[in-house]
Amino acid sequence: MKQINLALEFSEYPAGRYRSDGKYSGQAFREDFLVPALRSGEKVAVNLDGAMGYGSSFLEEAFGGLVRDEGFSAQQVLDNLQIISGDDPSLIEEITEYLKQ
Amino acid sequence: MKKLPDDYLFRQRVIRRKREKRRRIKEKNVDPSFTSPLLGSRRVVAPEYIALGKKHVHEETCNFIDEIRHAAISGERVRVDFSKTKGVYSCGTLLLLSEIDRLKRIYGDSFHFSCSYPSNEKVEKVFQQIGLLKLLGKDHRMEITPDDKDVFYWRYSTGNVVDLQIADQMFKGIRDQLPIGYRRIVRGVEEAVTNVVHHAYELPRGDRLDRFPAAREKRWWVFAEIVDGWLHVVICDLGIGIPRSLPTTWSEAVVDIVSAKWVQRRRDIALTERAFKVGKTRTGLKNRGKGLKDIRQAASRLGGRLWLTTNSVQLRYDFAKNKDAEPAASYFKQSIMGTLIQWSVPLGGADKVNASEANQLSLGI
Repeated sequence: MKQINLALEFSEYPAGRYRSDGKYSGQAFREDFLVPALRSGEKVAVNLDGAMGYGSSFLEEAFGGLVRDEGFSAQQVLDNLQIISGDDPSLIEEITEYLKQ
Repeated sequence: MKKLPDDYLFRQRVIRRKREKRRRIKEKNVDPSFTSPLLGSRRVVAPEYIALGKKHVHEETCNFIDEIRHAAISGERVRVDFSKTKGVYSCGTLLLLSEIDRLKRIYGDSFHFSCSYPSNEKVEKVFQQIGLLKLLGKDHRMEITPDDKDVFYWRYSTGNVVDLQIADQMFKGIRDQLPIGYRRIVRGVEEAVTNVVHHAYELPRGDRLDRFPAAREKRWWVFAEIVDGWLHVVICDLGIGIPRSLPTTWSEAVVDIVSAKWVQRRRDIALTERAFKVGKTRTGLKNRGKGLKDIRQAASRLGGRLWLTTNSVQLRYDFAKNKDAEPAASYFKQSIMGTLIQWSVPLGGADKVNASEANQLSLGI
């Protein structure tokens, strides 16, 4: 399984939607980390702990964008992506909602 | 015949102007603080309280800031007199700091502003802590220690992209005192910053400074402070305000006309309330508009308060007893020409997320 620790490998302050917003946007995380990992064929675990907080803009663009913009189906993502969030478990439900919209 | 000195005519003009000024002051009770730019700096007197909220305080603060802006636009030399200022509060102070910072970025070396040191020691310490005195060319002369509880934990940051790494020092400065659950506030700030960059500067502000590139930056300013067991975080932008950034659809306009909301003040209040309730967004896209709910929840889930001042509208939410509280609304004659959002949460009593529970769930279960 491929492990991604968002706070250590991407940013402690992930924020914004698009690359034009700033360096640590949802689009950047999705395109640079999530999509290559999911397309590798392995299952992927993303650890959200340690960051200072996740805005809905970031989460919707990073995860909802997998279905909306990258051509994955919601079920594909649900089957192959595991979210670890001890600091704030409610993020898992929120991400699921964005995938299913 | 005696030859007149070369500067005789100039001196006569100066004497005549001074005489006329004295006459005007005597007859019309003109404010003696005004001085012609030819003779020296203009003195702009800061109000007793730099704050937003109560009507007269709000108007005094906005009038003061307007006077500073107009003086800068006129190219005058200005000396800000803080001698009467007894109290400074987060929202008003951040608005003042933002305006002065923006003017300094616009005018650079042509920004001829200075100030007097405040007579009130605490006010001087706050201004020193947040960098306002430096902006106005004054040296720091006070020692600020953790014993200065009302001052020491004021932190300030500014940026023009959605990157809160810029504010890292600010958050880390107070982080040790905050349980993990308080990171909801950071989430609210992130969304507020995202909104600023996406929506706040879509149109010209309309303050005659829009022709300058620095005025068109999508800039935000943020404060954080801990005072008397409360965390206060304030974010400011000097953009167009929420009502101007949300065009109503035709169907909503019809509803507004029928329900007699088609008066500027009621329309602006209704638009702002709607944006926070249902996540109404300028883009109208289904996957957008979630950020304003984040902003509200950052206070509601922590049992705190949320104050939103946008142009002339002010909404005040108190979530201490009811997480679904409706706002109290005010409409001021003076617009702040931007948006201020303040979260105030008590540090003692809110729910904390238990960080020791490692909760791994696969999506779909």
